Amino acid sequence: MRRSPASASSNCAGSGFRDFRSRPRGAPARNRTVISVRQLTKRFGPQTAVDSLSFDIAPGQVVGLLGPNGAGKSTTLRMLTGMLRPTAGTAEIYGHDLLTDPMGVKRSVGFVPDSGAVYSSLTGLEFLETIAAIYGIDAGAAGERIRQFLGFFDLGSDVLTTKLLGAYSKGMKRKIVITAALLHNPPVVFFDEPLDGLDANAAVGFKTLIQTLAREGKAIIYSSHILDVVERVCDRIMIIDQGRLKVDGPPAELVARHGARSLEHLFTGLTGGEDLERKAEEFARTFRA
Amino acid sequence: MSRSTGHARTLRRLYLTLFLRGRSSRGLNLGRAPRSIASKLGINLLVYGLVGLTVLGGAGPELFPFALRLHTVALLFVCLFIVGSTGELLFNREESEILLHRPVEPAELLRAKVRVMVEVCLWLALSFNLAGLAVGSLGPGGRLAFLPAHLLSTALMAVFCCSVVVLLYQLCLRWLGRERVDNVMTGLQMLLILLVIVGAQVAPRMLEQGPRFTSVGPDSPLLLAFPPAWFAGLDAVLTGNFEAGALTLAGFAAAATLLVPWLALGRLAGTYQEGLQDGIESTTATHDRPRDGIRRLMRMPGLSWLLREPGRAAGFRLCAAYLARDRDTKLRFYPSIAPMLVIPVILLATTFSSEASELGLSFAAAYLATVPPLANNLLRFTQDWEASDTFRTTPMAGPGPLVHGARLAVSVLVVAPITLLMVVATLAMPATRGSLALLLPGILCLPLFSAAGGLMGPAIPLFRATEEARSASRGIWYFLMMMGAMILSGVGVAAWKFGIFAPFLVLETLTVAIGHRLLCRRIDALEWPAAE
Repeated sequence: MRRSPASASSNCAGSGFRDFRSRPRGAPARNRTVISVRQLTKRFGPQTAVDSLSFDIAPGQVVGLLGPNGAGKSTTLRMLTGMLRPTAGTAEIYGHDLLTDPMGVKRSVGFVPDSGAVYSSLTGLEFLETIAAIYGIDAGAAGERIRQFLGFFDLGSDVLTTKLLGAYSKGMKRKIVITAALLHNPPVVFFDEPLDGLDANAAVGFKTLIQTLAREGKAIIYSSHILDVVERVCDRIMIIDQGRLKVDGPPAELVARHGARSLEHLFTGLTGGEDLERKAEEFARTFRA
Repeated sequence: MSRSTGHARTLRRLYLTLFLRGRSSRGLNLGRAPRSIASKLGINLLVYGLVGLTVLGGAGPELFPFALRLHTVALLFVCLFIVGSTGELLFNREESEILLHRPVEPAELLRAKVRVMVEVCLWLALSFNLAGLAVGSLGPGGRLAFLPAHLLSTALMAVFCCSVVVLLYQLCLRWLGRERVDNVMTGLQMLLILLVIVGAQVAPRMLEQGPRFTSVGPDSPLLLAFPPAWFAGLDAVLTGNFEAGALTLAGFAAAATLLVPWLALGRLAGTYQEGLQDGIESTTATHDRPRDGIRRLMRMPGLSWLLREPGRAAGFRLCAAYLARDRDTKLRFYPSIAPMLVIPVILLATTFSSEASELGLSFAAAYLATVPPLANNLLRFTQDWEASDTFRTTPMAGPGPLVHGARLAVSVLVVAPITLLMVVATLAMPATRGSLALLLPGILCLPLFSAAGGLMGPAIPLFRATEEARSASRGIWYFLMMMGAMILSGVGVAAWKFGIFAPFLVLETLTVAIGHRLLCRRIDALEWPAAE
């Protein structure tokens, strides 16, 4: 079992999350949806990247967003964070409408983009302090939260103050980006390929962190290509292909419902990844010739 | 403190740090980056202050020409600085991924960026004008009122200068869209740099038939088309000159300083927001346009023969692609070589007497020969330097073929068009038409300079991180090459005058051929530098 109610009060790494239990006025109750997406569509010229996507997510849910390259996962997340304008449809996040109150949405969301982009000319600390200030977190509280996150990720404070982000390894940058996404203790968190670049220990710690965040009541969308991680971390999976939602439900239930041997089998069956053994054999044959 | 005030303060600090720490500090330890913003700014201010001293030479007693000269040179330097550095600040591709999903309005970002630009411009302009302020207010013929008047006009000039650059980018954004703006950004920067340099060189000569303003008055109608004159007119009015010409110029200054920022920050602020979002769309959207221009170029007769060796072809393809497509390379490369390209043009444009035109023509072509080494050196650096491992792991004995390929790419894509342009310009001007042959000494030595540049570093293309793009030894190399170009042009003109130009060309060709062969052998023998 991934989560137990008994452990719901356990500390998470950045214990700054605890203060989120006092729910803001107007915020949805725990048994209601915090993310409600309706007919969300995005077209780039003639190409439809996301096609009439609709779903709801409740607080405390970790939803895996799966799909092959170019399926529309990142575009969906970018629309839900207010970075991209939807061509049609809308979404409501933590009581804020995406089209009429994008700033409210942005205040409620933490986002780890797959690019892991940072300002390379800043030190890690300068970057995190800047992000904290944008969310209106005072310097004292920000310093404390940063310190806790650094402890969680085993990042030395000297690295944070002496090195510019351009000199960080990919994994270190990713840790900074994850910290920046969680600093303001958002009720909704989107992770786009968050494990990219993280070492094994950090990845294991991160998976634990996700489960702890969910216990705290945060709604999480976790987009990734790594099926076994998604299967272990998420209690619900959505597979999209060519912008369309193919299936949505708990992983075990989905596998059983479609008569698949495993999630991998289900995924390849739904997204046109069958016959891989034959393709590999053909690929190898070209060298033999 | 309100949220917007807090944002303004945070964003100002962020952009000031990014602006002053700059691209060159990427990837460095903080200890090797500029120690503090203040130290880097201090060095810049000192340099600008020293350059400002040079404007004082030959200053006359008349206040308007003096103020005009100060504003002309200050605007030139401030514009060059701002054009070269604001593209990245305004349109940082990664910024959308960092900030656009956070609760901050794009208009706040734009305001903070422009505020930082104006602040830096103001500091630079003031340090540049420091000596001028002292002379204009306390020197012989000076007036004390010049001090506050010139301070005000300089501040307005800084606001105007930044706003014009932002307005131009905004207009391009509106008319062309974000993706095309990214593609034409370097072209736009180069155009602005050329425009500013040529304007600052040509305008004084149009007004006075000489390089400096000494006697021009505010009543010249041509001055209305010359923005520094507006602010000099403001100086004149504020110090008590109420002539119609001065009042008109001052009116232009005031109107321009109000109108341009209003357009850039008010009317077109929405365009910036759309531009940021479109920036994400353009990275998400796919391109269905085939990119086969480089392949077609490589198949051209002659060039395909030169590129018959696969290593050379790889070097050429790589450099051509980065010169044409890579935003980071273009932003560093073209603004860096723009002054090198414009100086020959100015040399050509400002030769009035026959004797001066011969020397100017010869030097212009020889000066052009210094472009390939600079260009090849700039091409050593990229953000994608780690991809160079691809070549290290192939069975190539050394990087020589890549260096040759890079030299060819620079020659074909950068040097050849400029040489052609120079030939056309020479033929178009009556003073230089008859001396076209004087371009030959410079053109003939292009391969030699290019090969010499190939050894600098060595100039293996796209092998080093961008932040390493600073080297003291490079300056010495350029100085030596510049000296070589000057000597060559002097000898060429002497040979022309003494009627031994043809034997000189034969001798030069032989020398270049031998020197080029020797240098190429050294390039062929280059070994891969240590991977660490």
